[in-house]
Amino acid sequence: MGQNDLFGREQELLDRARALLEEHNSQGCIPIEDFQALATAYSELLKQSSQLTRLSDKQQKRMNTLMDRLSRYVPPPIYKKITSGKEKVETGTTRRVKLSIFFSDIKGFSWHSTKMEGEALTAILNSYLEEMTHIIFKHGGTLDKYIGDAIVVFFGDPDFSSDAEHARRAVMMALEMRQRMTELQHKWFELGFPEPLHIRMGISTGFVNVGNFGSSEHMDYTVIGAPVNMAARLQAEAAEDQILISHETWSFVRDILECGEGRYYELKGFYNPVLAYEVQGLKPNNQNQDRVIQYPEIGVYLRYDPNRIDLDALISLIRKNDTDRLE
Amino acid sequence: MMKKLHIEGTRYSPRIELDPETRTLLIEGDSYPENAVDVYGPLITALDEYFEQPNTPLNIKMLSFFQNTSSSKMITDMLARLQHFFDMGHPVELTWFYPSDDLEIKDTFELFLEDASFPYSITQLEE
Repeated sequence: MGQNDLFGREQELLDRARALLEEHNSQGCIPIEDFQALATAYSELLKQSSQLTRLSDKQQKRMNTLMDRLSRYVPPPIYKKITSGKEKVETGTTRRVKLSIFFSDIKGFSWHSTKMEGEALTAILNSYLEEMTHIIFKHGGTLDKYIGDAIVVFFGDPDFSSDAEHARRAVMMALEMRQRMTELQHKWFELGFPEPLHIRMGISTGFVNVGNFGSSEHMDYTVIGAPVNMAARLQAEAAEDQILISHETWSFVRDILECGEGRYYELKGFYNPVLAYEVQGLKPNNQNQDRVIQYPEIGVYLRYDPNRIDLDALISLIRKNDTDRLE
Repeated sequence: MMKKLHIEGTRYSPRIELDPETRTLLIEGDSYPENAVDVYGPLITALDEYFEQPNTPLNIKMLSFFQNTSSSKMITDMLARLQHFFDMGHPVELTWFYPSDDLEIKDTFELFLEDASFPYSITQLEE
């Protein structure tokens, strides 16, 4: 039996109709009872076709729903690659490429979590991850994983442009994350969480192996290699709100970023001291112009663009706002 | 007496067992084979032999949650055959199990059985 036999009944009906036509061709007409039988059989087939179409649509809709749910657990660039059929879903399919790797965590999060109720901790963590993930996707990063409050991102795979571009995007993302954290601290303070949370970040650029690692039954699309360890160690070395980048990353971004003097760090797993730089911010001609003044302990949080309003006008605006409120 | 029909299940096709002694038919496992005719064709042929004697009862249990389109075609053909045998006086009844709380799958099975007049039930599978 072949796949054609899937429509055996339908073919039988067609053959019967053809046989009738041949039989009665010379008479120029078909007996009414034969025609009636054919019409009844066609009606059955039409009903079945309609049923199958609806079943197929239902199954397709269900598949789409399942795929949509699964996509929440897989970074968008990887999801796109898998569903396009371009990715071989098997272990052993790895490539050696130069990527920029980013690690971050919240300094002292474990300590903070012992002082919070479970629901509050979940709300803060989810709010933090939601905001950071939005920034990751905005800068075109591939979110590798969350490990509690830690975030691992890489740039350059699966979509590659240039080593310099990926390093630049990784550092710009880190800067925006740091900026956003200062705003979130205010928001969390307002929500009743008094302790400011501080992010620390490490970025490294270099050749890694990227692809599917694991077993045939469960695998991860991830990266391994010395630059991954370096980014993790730099993050662990970083102080509160500090971004440390490796020398190779620095070489790609030094024309747009202000960095401190290079320093050697003794990093676990590295035989020789590693040269790294603290990222301070964008160089003046690349500056985001907004100024932020914040003293959360006395309820002050102010952000303004000095290109659009000078300090005297700002003070007048605050005074006017105060007077209007009293009236 | 007719011999038992046993079709081994695979990753892509269900296990099928038609037992003339216990008067039961079991179809267990999801169904998306390359060639649905190879899986269901022998069953439909076996059903024709099974119902040769008049007034032959058959109790059918289905534990198959997902079917590709060609499997759906073969299953509707099978259900049409069962309806035909029921109309001829054979006591046929069917139970189709769906995973607990999955109302979408329950809806799908109701669609398969919308024209059936033999006794059937669509029952939640206890975990």
